[in-house]
Amino acid sequence: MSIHQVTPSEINAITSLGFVIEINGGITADAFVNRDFTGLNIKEFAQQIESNLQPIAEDVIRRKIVLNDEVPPKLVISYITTNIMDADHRLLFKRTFTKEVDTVHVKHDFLALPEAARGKRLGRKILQICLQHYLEMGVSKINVHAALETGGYEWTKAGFRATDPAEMAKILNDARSALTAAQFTLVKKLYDDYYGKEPAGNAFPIIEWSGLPFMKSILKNNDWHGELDLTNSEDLFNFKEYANG
Amino acid sequence: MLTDNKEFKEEGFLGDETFQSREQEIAHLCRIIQSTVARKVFTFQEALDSYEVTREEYDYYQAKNFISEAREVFDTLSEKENVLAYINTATIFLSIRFNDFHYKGLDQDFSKAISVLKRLSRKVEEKAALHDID
Repeated sequence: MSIHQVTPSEINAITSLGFVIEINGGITADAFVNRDFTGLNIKEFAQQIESNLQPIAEDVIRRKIVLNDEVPPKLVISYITTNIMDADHRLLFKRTFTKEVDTVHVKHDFLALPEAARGKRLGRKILQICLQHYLEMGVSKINVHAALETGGYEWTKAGFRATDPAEMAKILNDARSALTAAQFTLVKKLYDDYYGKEPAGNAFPIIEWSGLPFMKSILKNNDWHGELDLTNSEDLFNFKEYANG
Repeated sequence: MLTDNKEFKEEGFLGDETFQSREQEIAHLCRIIQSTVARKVFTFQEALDSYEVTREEYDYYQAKNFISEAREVFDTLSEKENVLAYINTATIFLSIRFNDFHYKGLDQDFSKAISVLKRLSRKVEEKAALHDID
């Protein structure tokens, strides 16, 4: 399969969708993407975001792509409605791509849908679209700060591994207070199995906690930082299954 | 501006917590069960109970995976090899499946089924050998 090359006319097509493109550095947008984010079909990505999110937007949309030609180079795509303080009606989508030495990492900054659009698998469709582009451009890691409401629970099921031991110790402590002794023993066994071997480990398989039915409400009430390694076949499989699930 | 991640995070307000089907959810849980049992964190029964998966659901998941993996292999084989591989696989699968303690009462019937499959396998092999000579 040939690697997609972004052209100036594709950049024009993106701006005609309503995206504002900001470039920090003396380089054109197409040259910047082709040099540092090789393989990203940014026009197709922008069109897919537009066609899936525009119909559910309940306020004016701010579409923006920021290209920072710094060290390391960054590319930020955001699609956000102006009612950002209205948790029931706002639409937030933001991804930050960072060029590392010979790979690309992506940060899932925000994804929130208006209440009326939730529960219709649109979130997973967006993940599928993202994953398609991540794989095409050889993204190796996805980072997330899972937080608030369902986020602390939702992202566990996608296979993200928890990176901060202190956050996991806090969740373990919450479990100790909220669960029966028998339930807590199971939670603790999973914790000990990982942190017993890796006290400062940054890849705790929180997915194993989230599969325990009694952990759902505890995880929903916590936030944690996670990372998904797309070069790890197990992580990639879990993420694909979640996105398609 | 949405630059302060202290206030705005990847919230996951998706409402897509559940899988589309119970089968997908079971597959998700069975993968977790396999991993925790393989690492000896839980015993098999403890894992089934903890993740609320029944033995039947787990067996169904295993069988489906087994068949799907076997089919992937069969697709790479010639027609003759395919027949033999299929019969051998069915024999092995039946042995594994029904040697399980849950099915002890049915051992006799399944032993018969396995021996029939073995005989059939031998006959196919003999015919295939004759075909090669021809």
